[in-house]
Amino acid sequence: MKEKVYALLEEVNKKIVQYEGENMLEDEIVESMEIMDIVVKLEEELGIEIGPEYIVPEYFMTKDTIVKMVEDVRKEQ
Amino acid sequence: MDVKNSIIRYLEETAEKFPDKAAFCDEEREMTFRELREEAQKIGMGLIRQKIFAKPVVVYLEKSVACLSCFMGIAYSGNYYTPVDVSMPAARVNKIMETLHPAYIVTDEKNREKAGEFAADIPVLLYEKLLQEKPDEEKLSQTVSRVLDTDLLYVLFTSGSTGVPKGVTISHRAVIDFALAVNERFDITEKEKFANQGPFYFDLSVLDIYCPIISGATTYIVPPEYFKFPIKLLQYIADKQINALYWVPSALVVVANLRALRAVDVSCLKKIMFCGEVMPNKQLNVWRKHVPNAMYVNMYGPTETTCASTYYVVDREFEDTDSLPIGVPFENTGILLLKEDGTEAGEGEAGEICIKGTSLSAGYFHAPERTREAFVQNPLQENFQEMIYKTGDLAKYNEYGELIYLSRKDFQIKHMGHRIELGEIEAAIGSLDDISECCVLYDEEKHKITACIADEVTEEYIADGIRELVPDYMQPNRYIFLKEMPHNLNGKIDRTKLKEML
Repeated sequence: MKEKVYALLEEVNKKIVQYEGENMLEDEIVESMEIMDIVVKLEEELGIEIGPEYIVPEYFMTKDTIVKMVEDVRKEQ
Repeated sequence: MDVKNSIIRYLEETAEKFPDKAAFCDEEREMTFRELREEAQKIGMGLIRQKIFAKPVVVYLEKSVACLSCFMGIAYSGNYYTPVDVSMPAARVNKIMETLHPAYIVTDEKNREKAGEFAADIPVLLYEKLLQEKPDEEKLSQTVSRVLDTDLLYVLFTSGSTGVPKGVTISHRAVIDFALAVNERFDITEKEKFANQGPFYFDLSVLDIYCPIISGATTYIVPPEYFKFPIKLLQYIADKQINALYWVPSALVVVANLRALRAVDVSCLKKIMFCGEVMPNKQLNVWRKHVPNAMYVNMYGPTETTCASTYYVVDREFEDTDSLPIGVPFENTGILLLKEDGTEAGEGEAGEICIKGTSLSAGYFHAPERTREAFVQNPLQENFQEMIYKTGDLAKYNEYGELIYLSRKDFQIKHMGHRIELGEIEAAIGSLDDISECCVLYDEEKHKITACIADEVTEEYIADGIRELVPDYMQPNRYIFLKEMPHNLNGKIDRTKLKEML
């Protein structure tokens, strides 16, 4: 699943997957429209519904926190 | 007779009327109208002591209430301001400085060193030091009296097709008449609480700044990072009991698409206005469903006519595929829809939107050629001089007599609300070594800027190279490398073919 999420993130913005730091929001790797693109893509491709409560900074720090978000959404559903 | 020559007269009037009411707020502080006037007077005094009048002054600060004190302080001194954001790439700041030749740069301790890098020959004034000035009321009043309403209040820089940003000059009169028209049309009073989204170097913010200064309303400067996380953004709106917005549609689209309106009650919102790009009906309908009691207003207007020139109050239902009108002009504005032959377009016919009225810019700063191309004599007026601004936007009238935006005539785009000349990005990429030819295209549906290159270089090489040349919002979202660039018979890049190839 992790690889699938990475691949989807790469489609939105390669830099997200390449990013090695701890907070890609502070480092301005992603912009607001891209966060929307990520959510829409994950929902469409993984068949999940990501509630607005998951779209918070803590889940968008690195590629792996996005993977964690997907896992948490799946647990909930 | 109550004619005011300067925006400062309105600030003084509002500060008398509502001294202890919050004017502008950021995360650090709430600044009342009295404090705004006091800070502005100190900054104005500092500039008057430098013996400059009717000169450009750059404000180089992070987005904060301090910017407002500086803008008003510069206006107090009879000079005009240009906001330059500290996150702007150095090369772009340098181009702005070269065009503007500012008399001074106002910055703070934190950004002093950075400001010095661009402007070795331009003297720097520190905000903190200016606040130690002792205002001389009489001198300030004399200075403000010297200002004509046609004198400049600010110069905002927009993207230019040749790679050099254009400085749009705007007078006190242009701003005053625009803000008065908006306040009257939409009943903006001291009760309004705006949530500001537009950066101060972007004309969208003009409404958030000047409608409150004239009416006594309050503007909250929303931390920019909140726009990435709709829940936080809506919680902020609910906490502050914000009742008015003037945002780019992209910001409203993100909130609608991420279903945040289901999670937070923002029924406090009563006036939702938007401008800067096309608002999709699908997302507008989501907003209307969740916040049904708000008034929704679609506005249209280029930086060259101050902020917005037309408005449409949403008064009926729209399907996803319908066109949302941009409406009718504000009271101080006239719209001409001109066909190629210079005659007016009839109902249903496409024509270029040309704008006249008191909110028109005085032209581009230090660019007479560019000014002459865009600001021309009204071809329908043979008897006296009447300037119109040719927007390059095509529109038509619908059966209700409302304007419907159609498209651009050229390669200018609207991306995240910012007006961008694709040529400026092409010029930036073209300036890098080893680039012989490139073409930048825009996908309006996906909101993506695509750069096409036919040279043996890497994406990283270009992205790193142009990072210092163009702002973040102008960076391509994707790069396509081709073996060969398609050309038409004239030897120009065939953009249509290139679009098909993608």
